[in-house]
Amino acid sequence: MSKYVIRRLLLMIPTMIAVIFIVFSILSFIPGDPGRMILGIAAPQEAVDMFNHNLGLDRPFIVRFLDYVGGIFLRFDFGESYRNSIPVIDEIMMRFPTTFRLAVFGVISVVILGVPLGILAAIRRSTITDASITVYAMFLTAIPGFWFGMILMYFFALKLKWVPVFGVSEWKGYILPIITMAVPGSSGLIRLTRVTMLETVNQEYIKTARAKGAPEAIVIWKHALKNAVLPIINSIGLSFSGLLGGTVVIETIFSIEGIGKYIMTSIGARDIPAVMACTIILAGIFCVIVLLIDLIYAFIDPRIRAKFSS
Amino acid sequence: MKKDVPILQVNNLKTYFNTPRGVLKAVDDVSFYLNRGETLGIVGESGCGKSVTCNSVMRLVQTPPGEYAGGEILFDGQDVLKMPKKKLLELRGSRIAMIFQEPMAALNPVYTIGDQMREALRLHMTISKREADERVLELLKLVRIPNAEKIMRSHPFTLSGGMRQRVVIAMAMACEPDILIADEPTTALDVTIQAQILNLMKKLKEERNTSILFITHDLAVISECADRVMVMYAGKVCESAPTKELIRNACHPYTVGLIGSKPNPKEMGSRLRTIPGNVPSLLKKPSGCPFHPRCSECTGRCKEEFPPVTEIAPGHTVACWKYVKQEDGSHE
Repeated sequence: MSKYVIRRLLLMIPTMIAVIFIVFSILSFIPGDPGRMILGIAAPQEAVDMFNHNLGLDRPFIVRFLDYVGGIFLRFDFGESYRNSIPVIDEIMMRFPTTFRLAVFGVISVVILGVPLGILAAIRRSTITDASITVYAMFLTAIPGFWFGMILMYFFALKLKWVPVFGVSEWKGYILPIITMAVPGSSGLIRLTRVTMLETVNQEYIKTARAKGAPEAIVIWKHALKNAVLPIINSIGLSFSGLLGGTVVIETIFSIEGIGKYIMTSIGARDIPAVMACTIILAGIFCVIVLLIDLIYAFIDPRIRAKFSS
Repeated sequence: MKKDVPILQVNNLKTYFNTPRGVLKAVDDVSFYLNRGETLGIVGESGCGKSVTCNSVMRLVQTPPGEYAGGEILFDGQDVLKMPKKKLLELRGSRIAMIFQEPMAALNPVYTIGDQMREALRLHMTISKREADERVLELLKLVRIPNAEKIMRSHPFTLSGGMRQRVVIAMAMACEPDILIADEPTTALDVTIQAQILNLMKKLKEERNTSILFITHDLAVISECADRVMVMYAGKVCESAPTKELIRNACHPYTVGLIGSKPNPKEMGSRLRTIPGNVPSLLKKPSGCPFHPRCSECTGRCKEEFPPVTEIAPGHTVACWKYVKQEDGSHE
């Protein structure tokens, strides 16, 4: 098992180099000259050339690429922002804790709101409970995030003044963004949990458990859930890595300085080092999360564990 | 014949399913009994209501969409269908146990054999984990599983079908039940493994005086191990008799057809005989005797009314107008 983990971790190195290569080449070949972008249309050509030379942008592609990869792996250096010459990694690390907290609590809330309702719908299938939960989930899917966020803000921040209107300088500031994230986000998980649970409770071994005389609670929580949980964990992991990429809408509504907004403004400003750094770091986080999901799979399902060890 | 009180007495059981296309009468007015230490075989084609009958005995039919529309199931004098939930849970697994058709699917893939067997024990007895472990080993040895210690720690996917079926049987025998319901326990297995499993069940029955309700569509298997046989067709019982009597003197045209469909080595080279037509959909059951559209001896009355059950020999009952006529209205 540990051998498998080490092999997977080592495999991440070539994966990341490939990701960096793709991102780097796409952003190198898109039209638009960085010097011209930053200095403006009116700047003389000599100044632009000088600027590009200082940034090393006139060197051959392969040299620039190796320099960039070397910087990342040796010094964790992603270059400097075109906008303010601050190392982009510093900019990202400044915003990352906020986004991370939002993502963690967001995912926890999604799970708390989604999984129990999905299970309830499944065990009460074809009843009024199931129908109500399904309709509720559909309703949530249809709610636009920005609208929901603004409604919440209007009532709880402006009218009732329970929470601050914007910013996350105090812990209360996290409440509304997390609710805005979790409530509509839970609809997918409700439906996924319902479907996988329904599939599982129709399995023969569930009947075996009932025939043994196991009470319904044990049948559902011990026998069914452990089998149904894999796709659910997969979905939770993927939505977590999605949330780590920031949620532009929520960050914008609640004036939060997070990764999502940083990426959006960097793209708008053609701040290529910033965009590249964000993309690469998120890809790395994604790799780690996928590995974690795989390990949880192996931990839960002995069949997958057996495949890994061989 | 019926000297002692049967351990299980099913009277006029009706198990229906409410589907969007109408009421599906999977078990329609079925009555039978099972004596202590006896094996009753239930035979019939797929979809004739055998499995639903057995699931009903343990009240394992999902409701909804299923519904127990009538009748009673008396286990040791108590009606299973009216029992409070708590009592039912005590009954399941401890006094009535079940073996399923698909050993591949009957064990939970994410728990070890030991976990699942211990659970079967500890749901009904207050014993420590160590005592349970010892009992599990004993049970695994009882069903002749080699390397019991190792098997106990393994997960189901590492075992073959025959081994898994042994585990399922061992699990069913864990609390020494009065009744063992076996729903096609050998259908999914190789012929050689089939024989081993049948022998094993026979032995268990002799050693522990367990009653067995044995469902199969295989007449050869049934003649091997059942004391009595009940033939079902489209949710109805059409004939019931001691095994030898049934094989020798089948009365209902459906039973005759079923026995006739068995490949006979003496007739090698000729076409296999079949019963013409198909099993009717339980949603659109033919009127009267459900077998009448496929029956060569069908008369007008068969289309209108289901025949009363007639006893034509001691312990041999049949539901067919052919025999009602002969005895001119006499019935049970």
